[in-house]
Amino acid sequence: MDKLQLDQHISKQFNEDLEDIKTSMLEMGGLVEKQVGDAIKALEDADSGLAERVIEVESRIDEMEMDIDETCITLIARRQPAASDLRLVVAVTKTIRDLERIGDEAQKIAKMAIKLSEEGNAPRGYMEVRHIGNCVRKMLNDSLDAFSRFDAEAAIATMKDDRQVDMDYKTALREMITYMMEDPRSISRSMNILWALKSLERVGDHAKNICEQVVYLVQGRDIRRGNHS
Amino acid sequence: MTNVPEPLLKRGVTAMDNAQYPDQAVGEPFADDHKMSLRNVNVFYGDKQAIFDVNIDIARNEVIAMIGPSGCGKSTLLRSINRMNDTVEGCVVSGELTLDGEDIYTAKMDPVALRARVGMVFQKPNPFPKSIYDNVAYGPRLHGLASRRAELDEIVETSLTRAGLWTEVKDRLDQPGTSLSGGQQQRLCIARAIAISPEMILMDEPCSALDPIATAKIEELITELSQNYTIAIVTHSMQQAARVSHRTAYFHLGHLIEVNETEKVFTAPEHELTEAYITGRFG
Repeated sequence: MDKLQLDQHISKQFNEDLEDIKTSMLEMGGLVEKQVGDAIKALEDADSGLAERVIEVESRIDEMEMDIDETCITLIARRQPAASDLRLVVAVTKTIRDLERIGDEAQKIAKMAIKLSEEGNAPRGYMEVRHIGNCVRKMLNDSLDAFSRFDAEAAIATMKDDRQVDMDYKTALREMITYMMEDPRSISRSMNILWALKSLERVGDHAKNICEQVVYLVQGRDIRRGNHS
Repeated sequence: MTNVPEPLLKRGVTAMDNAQYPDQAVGEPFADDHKMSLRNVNVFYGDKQAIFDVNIDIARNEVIAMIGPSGCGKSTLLRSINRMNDTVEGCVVSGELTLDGEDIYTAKMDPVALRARVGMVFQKPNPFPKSIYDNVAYGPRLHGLASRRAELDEIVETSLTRAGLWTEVKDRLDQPGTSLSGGQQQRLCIARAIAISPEMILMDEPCSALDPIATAKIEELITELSQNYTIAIVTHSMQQAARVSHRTAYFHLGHLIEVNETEKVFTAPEHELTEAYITGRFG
C-alpha cells in the first residue's frame, strides 16, 4: 500500500517523477550502506583491495547525488510541488546530501584501512570499531527504512540511538588514549583507528539527520536541533 | 469537531475515500482585529444550498485568499460580503456578516453605500464605455466625494497612481478605457474600485484573463494595496494564493475546510482535503 499516495496525482507524469526521486534516493542509500559495511570490513581484515574498491565507488555516489539533485530542481521548476509533495522533494535533497557525506566518511575509513594494512595492525581498538560500526550501520539502515515507509515514529526511535553511539564513541576515545599512553609506539596506528571511529560517529550523526527529514516529511514539523515542540 | 486527521502520508487510502467535512474549519479561522466577521453563514440558491455554516474572520489589512475546486462556493461567499448576491434571484443569505461590527444585512444598511465601502474587482476587466478619466471619476462623482474639478483630478491621479497605471495613461486620460490592454484595463478597474476609498476590496479571480506579466503587476499591486486595504481574493491559481496572501481559506463543496497562514497551508496543511487539493490529487 502506497502511503504517500504517489500514484494519486491527476498528472501521471508527476506521479512517476515523485516515485523516481524516491527510488533513486533509496538506491543511493543502499549503495552507501554497502560502502560503510565494506569500509569497516576492510579495516578489520586489513583488506587493502576491498578498501580500494570503496574509494573507487565513492565517485559513483557523488554522481548519484548530483543526478538526484538535478531531478529535484527540475521537478520544482516544472511542477511547483506543494504540501507533502514539496516536503518529499525537500527531504530527498537534504537526505542525499547526508548520504553523500556518509559516503565520504566510508572513504575516509577505507583510507585508514589502507594505511593500517601498510603500517601493520593497530594493537587495539578493533572491537570498538566493530561495535560502533554495527550500531551506526543499523541506524543508517533503520533511517532509510523509516524513509521508505514514511514512518515518523520509527525515525524518532532511531534518532535516540545516536545518543548511545556518541557515548560509546567517547568511551572508545578514552580507551584509545589510555592505550597510547601505555605504549607510545602505537600512537600513529592508534590514531588511524581513532580517525575511523570519528568517521563512524559522524555516520551516526548523518543517519540522525535523515531521521529528522523523515519526521519533517511525514508530520511537517522541523525537529532539528532538539526543536521537538 | 472532527479531529485533525493523520497526515495524508500516513494513510493508506485516498483522501476522497473517507473525506469528512469538519464541523468547523480547522486551523485559525478567527482573528482578534477583524475587519469582516462571518458567523454561521449559509447561502441558498432556491432549494440548493451553496454555503454551509461558514465561520471566519477577515483581519484588518490582511490579504486572504479563498481557494477550492470549481463550485466550492468561494465566489458565492465573496459576493455575500458586499451583498452582490442581492441581485441574484432566489439567493438567500442567512447568518451574521459584520463589517467593523456592523451587520451588513439589516434593512437600514444601504447596499450601494456598503459596496462603496467594500469594492469589487471581477474576473474579466469591465471598464465602462467611457474615457479613462471618467471610469475612475465615476464613483467619486456618484458618491459626491469631490466638490471641485481640481479635487476630482487629484482623486483620479491618486487612484491611478496607486493602481500602478498613472505613468502609462496620464497623457491619454480622455481615451476610452476599453482602448487599454487587458492588464491595464484590470488595473483601471482596481483604480476605479479604490477611487471611492473603500475599506475592503474583494477580487474574484482578477488575473484569470491576464498574461503572466500583467498578472505579476496585479499581484505586486495587491501586496502594496494591503498596506491600506483589507483584501479578499478568490483565485484558481494556487501559486497566486501562495504568492500574495497572508492567510488561505480552503473551501470544498460549500464547506469551509481549513484556514491557516498561507505558508502553513502550502507546506503542511492540516486537513486531508486541503492536502489533496493543493497537491493535485483530486480527479
